[in-house]
Amino acid sequence: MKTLLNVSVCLFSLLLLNGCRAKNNTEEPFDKGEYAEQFYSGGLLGTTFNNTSSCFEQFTPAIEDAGLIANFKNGERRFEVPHAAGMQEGLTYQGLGPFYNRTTCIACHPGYGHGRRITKYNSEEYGNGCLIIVTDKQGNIASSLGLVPMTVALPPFKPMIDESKMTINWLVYTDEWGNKFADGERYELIYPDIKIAKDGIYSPLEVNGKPFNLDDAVITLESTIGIYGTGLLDAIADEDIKAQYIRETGKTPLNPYIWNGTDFTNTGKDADGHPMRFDYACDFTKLQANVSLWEVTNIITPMFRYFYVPEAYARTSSRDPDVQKDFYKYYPEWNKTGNVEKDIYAFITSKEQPVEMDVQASYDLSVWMRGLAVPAARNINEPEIQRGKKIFEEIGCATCHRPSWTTGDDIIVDSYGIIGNKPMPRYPRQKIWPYTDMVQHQLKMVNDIRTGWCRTTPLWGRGLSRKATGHADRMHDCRARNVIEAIMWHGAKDGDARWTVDKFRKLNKEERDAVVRFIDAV
Amino acid sequence: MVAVLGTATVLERLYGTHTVHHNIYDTVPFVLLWMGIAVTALIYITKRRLYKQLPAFLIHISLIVILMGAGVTWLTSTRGRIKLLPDERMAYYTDVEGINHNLPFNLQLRRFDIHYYPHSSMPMDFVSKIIAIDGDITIQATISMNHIFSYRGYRFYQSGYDLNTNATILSVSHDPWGIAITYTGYFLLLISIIGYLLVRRTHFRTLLSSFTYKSSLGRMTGIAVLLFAGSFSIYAKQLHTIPRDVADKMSHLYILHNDRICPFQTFAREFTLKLYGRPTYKGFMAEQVVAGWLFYYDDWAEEPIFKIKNRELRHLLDAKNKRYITLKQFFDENHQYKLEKTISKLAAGEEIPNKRAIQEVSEKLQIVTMLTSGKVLKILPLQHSGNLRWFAPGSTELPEGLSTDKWTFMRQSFNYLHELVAKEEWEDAKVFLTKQREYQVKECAGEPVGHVRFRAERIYNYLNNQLTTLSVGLVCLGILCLVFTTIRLAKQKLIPKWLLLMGNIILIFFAIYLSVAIAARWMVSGHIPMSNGFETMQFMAWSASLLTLLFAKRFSLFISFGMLVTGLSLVVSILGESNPAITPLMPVLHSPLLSIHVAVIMLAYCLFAFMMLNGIAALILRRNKTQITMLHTLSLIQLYPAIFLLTIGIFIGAVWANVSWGTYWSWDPKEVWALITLIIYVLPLHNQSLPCFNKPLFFHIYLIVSFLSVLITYFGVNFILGGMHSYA
Repeated sequence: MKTLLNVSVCLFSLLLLNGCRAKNNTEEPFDKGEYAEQFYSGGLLGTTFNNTSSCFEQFTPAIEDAGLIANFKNGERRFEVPHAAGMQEGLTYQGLGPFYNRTTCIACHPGYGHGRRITKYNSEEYGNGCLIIVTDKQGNIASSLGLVPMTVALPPFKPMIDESKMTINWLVYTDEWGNKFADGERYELIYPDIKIAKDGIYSPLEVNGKPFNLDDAVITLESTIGIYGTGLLDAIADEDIKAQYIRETGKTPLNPYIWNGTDFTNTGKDADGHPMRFDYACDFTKLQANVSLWEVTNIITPMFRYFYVPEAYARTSSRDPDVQKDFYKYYPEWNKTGNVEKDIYAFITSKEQPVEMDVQASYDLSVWMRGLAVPAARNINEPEIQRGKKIFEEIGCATCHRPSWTTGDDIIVDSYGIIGNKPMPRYPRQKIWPYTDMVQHQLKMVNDIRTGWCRTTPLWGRGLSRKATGHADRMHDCRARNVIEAIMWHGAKDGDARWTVDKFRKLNKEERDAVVRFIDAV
Repeated sequence: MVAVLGTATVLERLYGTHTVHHNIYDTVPFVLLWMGIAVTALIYITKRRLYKQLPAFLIHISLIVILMGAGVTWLTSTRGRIKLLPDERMAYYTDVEGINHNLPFNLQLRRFDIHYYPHSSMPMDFVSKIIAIDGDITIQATISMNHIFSYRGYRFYQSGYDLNTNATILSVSHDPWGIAITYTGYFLLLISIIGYLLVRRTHFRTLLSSFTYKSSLGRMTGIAVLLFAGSFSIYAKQLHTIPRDVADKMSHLYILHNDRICPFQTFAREFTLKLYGRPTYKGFMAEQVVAGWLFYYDDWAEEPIFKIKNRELRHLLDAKNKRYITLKQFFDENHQYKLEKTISKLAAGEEIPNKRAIQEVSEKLQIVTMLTSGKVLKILPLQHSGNLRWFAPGSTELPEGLSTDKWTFMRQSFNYLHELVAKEEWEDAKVFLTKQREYQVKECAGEPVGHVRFRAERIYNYLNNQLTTLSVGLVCLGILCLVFTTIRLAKQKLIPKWLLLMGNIILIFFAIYLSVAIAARWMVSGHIPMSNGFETMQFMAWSASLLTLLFAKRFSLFISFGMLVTGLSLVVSILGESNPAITPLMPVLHSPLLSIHVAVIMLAYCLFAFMMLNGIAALILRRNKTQITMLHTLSLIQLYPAIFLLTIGIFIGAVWANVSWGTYWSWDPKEVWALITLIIYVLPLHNQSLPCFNKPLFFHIYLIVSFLSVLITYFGVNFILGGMHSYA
């Protein structure tokens, strides 16, 4: 706030009085009685009070404090503007492809929030935040497709999955209570069933060289969640996350792939010992390790000078007569051996691709991502909302949706050497209200998420979703269309949250509504 | 005929519009029936030598001309559809029976576009850009929902599209002679009605002169009906918004709204009117309503603030027939928009009932979305590379190359207000808003609009906010005054001076009030305020008040009539304004014709109501011959203008329908019932041919029963029979 005011006062000398400036400089939460701090979902340094449809797109006070607004602005443009393929002159952002999944980041993160439920897979569709996850029966990702199957490829190449050969059927699920509460109130549960035709998959499916049949494949969708506030989650100290694991050990099953009962396993942490904390799958540790831009658009940076495509795809492409026929036409400079198969393979797997986005741009993007504020809670001091909060805690929701954390010293981890000595927005010692324990649990849903383990999703800001993104879809594949459906998807017989849903079912209508209102208010 | 028509409307409800048209309205016997009536009437009036009374004769002749026009339309007009593929030339269209008719020119579609509401997938308009090729002449034209293309007697309407082929579907109507003849009839009718009122030796004038203060009459009981009962609601739940004084500061901001800079107050007022139909909500001023949506969205999403006029629409929205619904009620439990299916039908060009009402409701929803997304709130002026443009706070459409400081200010300044509001630091919020206004003036290098104009607009808004109360009050006073005056006249007493004085004072007050309001509106808009229904009706009210003041001395009943006309015009103007156009939404088609159509007919109904009351009074006093004779005369005096007004009203409606529906008469239930009403009420005027109407008691009973037809037309059609008028 301080810098905002300084800027404003300098530029528009008339704008703000010294009086309110002085008042605003005191870094104390305002007086709303005992609930004051709960308004600041992202702490004093990470909260925005904007609650319009752009509420997820605001920068934090920490951005202003660090004087990083210009960088934030650049990063924001990088995120929002569609990228063009190739390196033509005169285009704002380029370097897309030749294999990619989306042309712009915001397409997957509508209004910077959760992706939207889809009935047809379309890489061009704004709001489709889903990746197609293809695994074998054991949950191993098909290495011929990778985590981000490229659904678009520029000629002469072909997409890894042909979207038009893929169907998404939303099936109705009837739970053991017949989709209704004791008082007769009904809800509806639906879940996606995804099929891809045989000719829709380009390279034969395999896991690390071992082929498997499409009939044995499990296909699921994984949607984006909101990206605001990730900087604050990043600021939580490693020890505090470990303490949370220790606290939960013995009380609830924990993913043996991440946690061995006393400490993080080797797959549960990185080389520097940071525990895995991001993604449903808990597959990366610190925010700076995120490489989604590269993974989705294949824009080449100095850090990754190769395409994010599996080797199997390079093999298939290089042997594809259609690709061979036109390859030299599109890539004459790659006619190095005269053996087209070899040249194609060399091109796709080359580690020396020309750089398309410089380090400064990556830095701006990092500043922006770490600088996205969390919207303040709404009406949190109201009795009904507080009542909802109390029930939320009493029936056990808060066990996994842990209300608040206090961030650590927030020392920036520069995973890929993008930051160097440059400043970053930092959030040390902030009391934040994300409503997540940062730990994976199992809900045992029908057509569940890959591996069945899913990190508890933060609830902050989600009540503004409809306003910001035009929908209120929840869960990893957007199967829940409202809060009640989301809660009831937690109720599978052997799921970790079953006992809480049992209690939720015992509530009367008024109490259930209070819980929903509370979830929408945080 | 009345029986046939009445039955037809009921059958329409039961078996659908198409069936009824096919089996009744479009059949030869039905047309023969009309021809029979026309011929008999012609023979009869010739026999009775009506031509000696020229105006009355002309009225009848013009009716026959209108019927002839209708006949010609029935015989010669064709209607059909034409499907145009992009860049394909077409020279024929296909009618309902699948027969192709040639066009004397070629039509070619250049492109078809669906315009969407900003940031939404809801279609706003369907636009076909076409070329008409007629020999060497090429004409480029655009056809959209509210914009027809007319060439060589052929009129083209946007009616649908086919997205698979990018084709547009147009309705074609061709009626070269019928319209002309019918319109001639309307014109003749208007002239002869005016003539009838002006010429001395007519039945009406005789009646008027007989009705003097000298007529002998005894006691009489007056029946006063209080039409409007104030409704007060009690609200238990605390609704959040900003305090009045902060809202007042907000109302002084400038905003770019409807392509002009105006006080924030104007925007807030129109926003609230659009949603709620009134400029305030539960005692909150309009600025507080807007602020409520901005800062306390979740609270307001549960407020029943969306006025849904149409009953079927209420049903579609599961509103259990409530007039007002909440934002949440627009969506089902899965957050799906309940009208989505209906709207996509509309978008696919299907003819659906309540089209206009659905559009209107969608707009209400859209305007809230546009407010909360900050898209319409253009309050931040920005000088950039020599241009002054206005942006909404937090706009993501800021020009490139803007300095970081300015960018920050444009994007973030309102977040600070959000924070102050959340903290309830109202004094600082007021300071912020004051400074915000100073910024506006500074960035625009001076006041964006003149100080006087700004003040004028605020005065105008203030005056208009009082309009509902004032006009309803005036109508009530007018009714009381009329009843009282009639009683006095019936008692053969003079109207007391104090009443005349009071009436005069009230009318002078309204004349001044309206003069100021109209002058302020003129100043604000920069054009003579006669451009839309609201302005026209306000002008009509103003003229009525002045005219009454001029003529009140000659005829004392005039005072009450004047009050009624002024009041009713104002009420109608409010009805027209309850749906103000807020760009960039498509304005609901509101032409001055529509307002006049409504006003004139309302006035007629009002007079019919008086006659009914007279009748009841006469029944009560049936022993007293002189009294009921007196009331008989009074009713007859009211009957003439009532019938003329109804006739004119129907024909104005027909002209409007021709422009917007493409046909001047479509046998819609409301139209049919208005016609039935007209036929029923003209009978008593033919007392020479139908002597039974000379018996006062029969006459009165007839008028009481006749009023049923008015009730059916006004209420029955809306609630039971449906049709294109059902939103009215």
